[in-house]
Amino acid sequence: MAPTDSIYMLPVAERLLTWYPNGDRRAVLAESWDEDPQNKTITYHLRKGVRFHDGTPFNAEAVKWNLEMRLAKNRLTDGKYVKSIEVIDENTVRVHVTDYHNQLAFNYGWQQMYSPTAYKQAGGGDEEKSIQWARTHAVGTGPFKLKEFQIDTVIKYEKNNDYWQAGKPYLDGMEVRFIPDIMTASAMLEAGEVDAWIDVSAVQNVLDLQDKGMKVNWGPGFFWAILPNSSDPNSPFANKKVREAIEYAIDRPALADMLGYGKFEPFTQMAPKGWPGYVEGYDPRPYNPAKAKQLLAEAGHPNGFQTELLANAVTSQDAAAAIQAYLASVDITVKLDLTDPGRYAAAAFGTGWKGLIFAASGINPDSTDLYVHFGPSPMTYRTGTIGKSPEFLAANEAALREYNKAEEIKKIQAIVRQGGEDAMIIPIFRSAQAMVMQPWVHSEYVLIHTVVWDAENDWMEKR
Amino acid sequence: MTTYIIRRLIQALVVLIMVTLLIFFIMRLLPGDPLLIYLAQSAELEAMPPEMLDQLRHQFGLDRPLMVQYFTWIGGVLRGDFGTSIFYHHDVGALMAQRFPVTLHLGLLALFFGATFGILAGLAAAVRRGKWLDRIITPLTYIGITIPVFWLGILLIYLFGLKLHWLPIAGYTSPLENFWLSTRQVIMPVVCLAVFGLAANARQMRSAMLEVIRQDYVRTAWSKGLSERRIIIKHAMKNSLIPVITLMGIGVGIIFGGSVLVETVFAIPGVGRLLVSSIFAQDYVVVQAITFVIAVIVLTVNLIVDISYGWFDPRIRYG
Repeated sequence: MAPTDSIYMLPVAERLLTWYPNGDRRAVLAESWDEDPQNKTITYHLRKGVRFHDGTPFNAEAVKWNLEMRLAKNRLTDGKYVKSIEVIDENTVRVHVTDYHNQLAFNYGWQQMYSPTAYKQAGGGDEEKSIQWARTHAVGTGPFKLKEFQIDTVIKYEKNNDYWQAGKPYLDGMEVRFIPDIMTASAMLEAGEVDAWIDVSAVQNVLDLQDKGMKVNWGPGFFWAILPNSSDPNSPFANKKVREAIEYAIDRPALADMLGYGKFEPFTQMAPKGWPGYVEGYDPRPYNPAKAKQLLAEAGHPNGFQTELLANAVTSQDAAAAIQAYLASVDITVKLDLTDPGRYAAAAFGTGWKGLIFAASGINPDSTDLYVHFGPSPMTYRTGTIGKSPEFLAANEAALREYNKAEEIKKIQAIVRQGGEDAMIIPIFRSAQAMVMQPWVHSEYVLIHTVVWDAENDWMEKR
Repeated sequence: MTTYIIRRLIQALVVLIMVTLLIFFIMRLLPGDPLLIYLAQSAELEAMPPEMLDQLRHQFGLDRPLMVQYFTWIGGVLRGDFGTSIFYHHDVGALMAQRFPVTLHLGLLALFFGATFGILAGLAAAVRRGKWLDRIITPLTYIGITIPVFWLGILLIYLFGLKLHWLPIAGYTSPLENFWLSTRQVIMPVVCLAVFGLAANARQMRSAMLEVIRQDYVRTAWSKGLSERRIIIKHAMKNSLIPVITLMGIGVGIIFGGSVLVETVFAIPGVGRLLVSSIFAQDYVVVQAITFVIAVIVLTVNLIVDISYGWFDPRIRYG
């Protein structure tokens, strides 16, 4: 636990909006919200009677302060569009923007809300002191109060008896302990020393524990894809036929089955099954090594070529080796560049890469991730290494400006299809992310996403 | 003696400066960017415009020339300011103050048990050379010096934690907070940390003792009719301890190295785990500070060891 702790603050600090499992937007601290693309405003109607853990009211001023704080620190997604934040009344706050698209209301509403009073009081007027305090303290409106926080070690929560949802939370408290070694974590669960193991990507361990009677919540996992350096005109991947050849050369169902023990979903498009943008039956390039060789010959590489594949050695060594073998079968010699997470992150998000990179991104239940990772101005893969066709960018623009849900989904599917037609990226599989629990534990954590945790609904049977 | 100590202190200072130079520049030779790692792992990347990276780089002084960064760091260290962690965004001095006592707690226990049982085992094996006790102890010491610590940790967890339920599998509690729980929690990690030192000390003690008991003065002691206990403890053991003491000095460094693995396997929030996380995050500031402090500790212990030779063997004189 360190910078990623915002996830573990979900029981403490709630958002204005979150997701339903199907990706629809759900009001939490906002009762409702109005979007006005014509006048370029978003109005959040806040839940009444909610108080922060320090007893101060959660109101429009608090929301304004939270959003402005993030704006000031450059930490608000799409913050560049915010013109002003207006307090209409105690329970209504309006955001005025300079330009409008259909992700803004959610991006602003997605922020966790913290008590401005607690923050200011902690520093006694000294901003630096407040910042230091906020690194290990949090005062929100959530079902649990933060009792103790030790970096990388433990987070203890206690029940918020004044929680706005009557009768909740069910648990008196929780304790999240950070166990770096998966063998140790697995043993602790099996020995009954802990009640649950959250956010687990080690499928083999999960299946083993499941066989021993543990309950498992399988979450959406991560979107794994090969991203080519196609924006560089000197790169072989600037040629669409080469990218298509890569896609034809890899047997994705076999790869997913081998690595995921049946729990990974092979991809044929830039969307997993069940996701709003998924195009039923769309599989432009099923496994066909002969076709791959033909395309390579047409692209001027009858004897293949050499390239390199950058991959995170911690998370994807086996997958990278398998991809190397598949590409070797069509005469593409891949030099694996297995790197530490640091260099991987630097290349993927900062400096770009030469040949190919095997990369993972999140899978949100709605379309947010498509834009965040692959959209016209992505937040993650923003190095410009992935070439994007004008048609793909236009399809994004059209979907972002659509405010009718049914029509929006059709336009998101058009993005997915265009990305597929361009062979813009080579989708490989959806990995699995799980929460493993003792039989007496009841929770829905990770079912929607690892960043959605309604801890007020978690409960345990008496043992 | 004073001259010797001063000379050793100067040598230690030179070594320390070399350590700071090596760790500072090697960390920066690693490919990757600590700020990008921080951002990528914090999911903050999604909300952060590219210009913010430059702002952060300036905030941590990473946009300045390397030599300026080095001297700024050294200047801070001399003032007791180890800087702010890039990854944790915390004061590094405060982070180390939380973590070092945990590692020292385990390390001192491991040193104590490694030395005590190692010396006793080596002594017993030497005195009973070729007998059943020696035939048990000596092969065990081979295992002790070769067994991988992380593997031993997993075996212990499987046996004593998972199957027998005798000991808690992981975690750390301060002995001041709950002595009994703390003791139960540290047994397995301390065994893992101590096993190499114990075995190495036993082997060294056995061989040193075998050499000493063949010396003339020991034979004289036997001829004077002194008891075995008196000969071994008063005459032989003290002189056999010199190589063992050297080994114990080296053992301090080995224990810090071992803590990196042991604290990861047993989820102990010590300085070893902090070091691992910081290396993966390329958090220069934390890695430099921890390495510096460990170097100071190892150098100090070895200086004490060198000085102690004179007490163990009065024939040793310092020029």
